Amino acid sequence: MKKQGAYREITLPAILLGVGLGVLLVACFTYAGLLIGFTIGGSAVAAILGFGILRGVMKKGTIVENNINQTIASGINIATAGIIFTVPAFYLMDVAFNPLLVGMAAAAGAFLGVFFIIPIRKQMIDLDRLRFPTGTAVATVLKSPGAGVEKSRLLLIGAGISAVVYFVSQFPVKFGAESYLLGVHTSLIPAAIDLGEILHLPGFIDNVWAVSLFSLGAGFITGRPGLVVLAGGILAYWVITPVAVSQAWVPADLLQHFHALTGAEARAAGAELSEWAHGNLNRPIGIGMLIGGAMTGIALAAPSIRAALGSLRRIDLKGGDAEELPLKTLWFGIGICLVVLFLATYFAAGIGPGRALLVSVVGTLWLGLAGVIVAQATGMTDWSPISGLTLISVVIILALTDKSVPAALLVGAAVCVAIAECADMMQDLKTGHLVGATPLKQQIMELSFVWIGPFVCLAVIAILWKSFGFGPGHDLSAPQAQALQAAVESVLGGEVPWPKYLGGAVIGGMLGLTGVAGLGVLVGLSMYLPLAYILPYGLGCVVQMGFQRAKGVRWIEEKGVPFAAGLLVGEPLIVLLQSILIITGVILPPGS
Amino acid sequence: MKGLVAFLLITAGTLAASLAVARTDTSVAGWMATWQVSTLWAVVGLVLITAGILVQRSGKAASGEEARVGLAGLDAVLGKVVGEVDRLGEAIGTLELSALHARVDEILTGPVTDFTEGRQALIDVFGVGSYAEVMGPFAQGERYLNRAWSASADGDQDEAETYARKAGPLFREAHRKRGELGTQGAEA
Repeated sequence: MKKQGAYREITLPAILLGVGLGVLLVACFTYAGLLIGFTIGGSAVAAILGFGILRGVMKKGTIVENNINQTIASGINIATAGIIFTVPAFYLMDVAFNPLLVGMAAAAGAFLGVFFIIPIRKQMIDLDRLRFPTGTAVATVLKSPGAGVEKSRLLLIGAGISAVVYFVSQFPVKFGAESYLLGVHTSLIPAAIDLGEILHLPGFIDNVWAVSLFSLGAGFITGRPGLVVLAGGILAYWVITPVAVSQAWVPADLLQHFHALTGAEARAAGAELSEWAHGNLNRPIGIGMLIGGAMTGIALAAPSIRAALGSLRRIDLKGGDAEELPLKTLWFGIGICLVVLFLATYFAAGIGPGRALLVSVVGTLWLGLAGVIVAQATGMTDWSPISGLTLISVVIILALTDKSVPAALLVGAAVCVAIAECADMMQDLKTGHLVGATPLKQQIMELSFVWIGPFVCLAVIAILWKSFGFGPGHDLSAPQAQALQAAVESVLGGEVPWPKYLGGAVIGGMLGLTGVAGLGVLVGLSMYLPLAYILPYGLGCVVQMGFQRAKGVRWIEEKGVPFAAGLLVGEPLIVLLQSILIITGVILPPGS
Repeated sequence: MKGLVAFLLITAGTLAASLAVARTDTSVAGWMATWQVSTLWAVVGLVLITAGILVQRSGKAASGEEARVGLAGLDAVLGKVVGEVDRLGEAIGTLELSALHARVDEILTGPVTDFTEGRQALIDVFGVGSYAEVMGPFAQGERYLNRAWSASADGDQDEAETYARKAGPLFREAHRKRGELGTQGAEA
């Protein structure tokens, strides 16, 4: 069949669908984020819904057109990840703020995230060939029309299994009688399996496996490089934590409480010790390692980055052949956003113009570095340490402003949205590379609509606060914002674990010199993430290695990746459905 | 063997240094008594990591011949990519859309994937900068082939043929850049 006219890429239906889906996803995932503490990127959901609407209903959507739809939708939605971590803290801490100014700062952050990450596209996608598991999975979804029946079937089977497993494990409906699995009380498909309890390990040796096919699929797509994540998790949870407990490096009262109990109560007390060690030892060391490892990586990649900047400098949009936004456009955009961030900070935070300018410049520089770190981590593993890096920015701003909480939270919101956009833009550009999209068109579409997300998210938060409230004692507990609140209060109380950040940075920097790509970043990331998701992720990596050895690389690309891509996209669809059903009152939230 | 030794040194060093850093807590009683011990372990850890890096690098220098053997295979694959894409370019205009789609798919899943999987040999012999000179145009050619694949899947023959043609010069550019690097390898 030969089509007439230009190949459909940027079209009005794609734009309208992308904006509409983006707004819907923001609303749903803002609620989900306040309820359960994490959000979903939205690319996979948008790609699947776009496939159904553009191709199924309208009968004319192309692969690259649907890519534009999912680029816009995910660019709008990802602001949720940044806003729900920071803005609810204003409410929880009873800090007065102007929503419009916070929205402006967050929108500036969204633009800055895109501007900063564009020059790194060539390095990460063309040269480093980072996997970006979600980006790869979304490309598999988009390409399913031409991929042949077999690949599409595998994709659907994977998505179906993932969706059913998540549905059964998460919805508050018991399927049949509760059962016993190896002596452990559980429902038909539990949300997690506590292998530590089954093996009668002490409670502080965390061995909980989340039943997360999303993590399994991400690990499969990543393959061997992801084993480093597993290694880092083992270092943190199975070495540092047990040593810390056995050597009494933990608070004496927690330790005494643990030793005084037996049975299930001792396990619970042991879990408290593990949680303390994670928050006070492994997490700050991990964040430091991330930063140190990333800085070494950037230094080693400097020749390639310089070459990439050189090619951006030579781009002339008027020629018509440009494939990326030129460097001068990026600098101009960064300049404008810096001014907006300064004005928002000056008028919202009640600090002088000099401090506001300092905070804006430092915040912008930090978000540039942090954005690269997050994009690299996402590219290697699909995990992104957004909250940890935002926390650092809040600590820095508190230090620079003599502990101004409004300034810290406002700039923190901008930084958090920015680095979330960095990760999302890179995932989308990876998808674009795999489907043959023009990077310039994706970049223009992202920049055209990315500002919408922060304002929609702020509006939803304001509505939820007025209607239900959130925080401790509410169904919408806003766990991430509570964590930020706790961190801010620690800083205000003078407790910043600088030795651990710095020590971790030195270790991460050294690991970056080993020649194993991103080693410091990966180990740091895994010390920071919950082990429950690292374990199935590591299992996915091992499974992929086993299949590759047995069946070869071609089999992995033809069969393994489509199935694993399906595992990645099934869960987000159910999260969206769950959120809609809870918001509309059809079902109760989990745990109710 | 050197790889294993390097791995063990780096792992031991990371363990020692991480435990030392975990111990640096000013709120724990007797902090002054542990400060010296923590620092000692941290230094030991960093020394072990450094030793591991040096062993690893000496292993890489010794395996330079291995890398050059891998490079020869990679050169053959790159030549195959250029040949296949050139033959595709010559056949454009005579191929049905489904046949064009199948040819593009074969090139992408075949020699293009083989080249990207084996690219480490380029980095090991010539360094990151030279690798980027080759991989830059290669990746752009790959993206153009991906677009040809998508367009042919969507039924747009004009777009598919246009981008299949545009990919050829980019792969030839990558091949030319590789040729300019010669066979000596980068100076350490």
